[in-house]
Amino acid sequence: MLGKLIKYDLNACSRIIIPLNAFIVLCALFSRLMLFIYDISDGTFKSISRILFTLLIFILILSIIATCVITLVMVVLRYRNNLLRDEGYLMHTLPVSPVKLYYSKMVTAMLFFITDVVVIIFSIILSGLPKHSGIGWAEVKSAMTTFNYGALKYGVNGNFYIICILILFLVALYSSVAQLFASLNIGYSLPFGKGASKDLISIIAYIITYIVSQIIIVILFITAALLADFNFADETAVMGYTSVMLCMAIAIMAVFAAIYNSVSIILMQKKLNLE
Amino acid sequence: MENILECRNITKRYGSKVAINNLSVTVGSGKITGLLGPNGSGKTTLIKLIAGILNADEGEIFAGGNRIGIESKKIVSYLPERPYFTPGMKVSETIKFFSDFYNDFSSDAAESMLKSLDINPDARIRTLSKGNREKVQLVLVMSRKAKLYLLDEPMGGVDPAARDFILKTILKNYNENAGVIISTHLISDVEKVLDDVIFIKNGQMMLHESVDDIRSNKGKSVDSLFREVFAC
Repeated sequence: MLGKLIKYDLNACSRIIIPLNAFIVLCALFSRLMLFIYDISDGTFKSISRILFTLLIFILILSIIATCVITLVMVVLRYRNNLLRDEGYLMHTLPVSPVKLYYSKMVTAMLFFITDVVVIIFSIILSGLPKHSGIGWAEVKSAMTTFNYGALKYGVNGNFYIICILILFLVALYSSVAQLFASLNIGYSLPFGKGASKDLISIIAYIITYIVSQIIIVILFITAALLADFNFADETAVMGYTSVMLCMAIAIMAVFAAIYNSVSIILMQKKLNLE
Repeated sequence: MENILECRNITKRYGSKVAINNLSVTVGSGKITGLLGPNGSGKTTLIKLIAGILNADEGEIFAGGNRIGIESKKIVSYLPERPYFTPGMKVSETIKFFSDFYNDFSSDAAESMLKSLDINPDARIRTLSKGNREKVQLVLVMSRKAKLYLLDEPMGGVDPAARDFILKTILKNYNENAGVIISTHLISDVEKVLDDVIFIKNGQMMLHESVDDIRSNKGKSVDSLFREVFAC
């Protein structure tokens, strides 16, 4: 059943997400073409291709921002409309547990955000912008080698760092989506307010959970640094501390994600309040 | 005759307001029961509790012997009082959706009914008129071979011709061993198809009787009894 739910969510949202991502790739492709023309031409063509390249990069950046914003809005609206408003009358009467309903939205959201990130990275590379700015594969490789060497010097594996950062990105993304969903569930479960006011309550719930989570994170990190007797003057220790901090950040985000998940699922199971 | 629905001492509160107050009721298989009451009496809340959209604060509900949950949802076919399809879906996609999630759903029956209504399967829900959207929902709900049908205001806001269609669709398609609960204000329209009626007021049951008994014992139609009981 989870697979079917995901299939319907992907179908409903991909009508918007696929064209947006295709547009980004197209912009990147034309940018690369202009860069190629710029490289092989001279005189007027060189000037025109340079102007067009700049213009296309500008459109590429705008479309990247638009895609990220639209994906976020779409994920939020899909969750709200499909589970907490009128469409919820259908979804919550399907022979499916609220847990599966919740995870179908979560999996779809994660897939769309990850797709966006992959397409954005691919498009930036494809556009030729890094190359034009003097950052090629050789420079990236060199930077990686320097980073790995530097990290090893302080007794830390550079690849471990990179893997930790990737995991942190995924866990933080999951936790952020879960926080959005939990805020919506809180806003729509309270026994007062209708329509727009439930949205307002959800926004307030999001702001409160955000502030509380940030305070908790700061307190935890300061406490950890104090307990570990953090010494910024000791370069070798700093690298070790940062890797511990990275792991700690992953753990904190995972705990927040688990709390947000539980809030959403419990509210849908026990306090669903469709208008 | 076995009971398809059993509600035991259920109470539902919205904040401090009691919507359903210690209500107990049973509905037998093979019967069409009218759930009647004035606005705000708790009809929709009761139906939502049975459909599993709301949770009772107290008491227990069993549909087909199952507590309200995944198993009960497999045998309950629910028509809410509002449109619930994603507006961007095509009619054909809604049929596929029902077919994917409900084992008792008959795509052939749905397609045939929609054809008789001249509703284009390729049309998107958002392009349909309000009346046609309601008809699509009713067709899908009635194309299930469910054991309990919950129809909340199925004729609300539609013209008399559409009301006739709705009643015909319900009578023609419901499984004769199933129970049907119809919540409505339009008593005179549905009275002819009802076996039993439940009168509900302020979340409490006022009366649960067969239509035949009301006519023979009280010498009244359900409509006139309703007007008498709920007179302002």
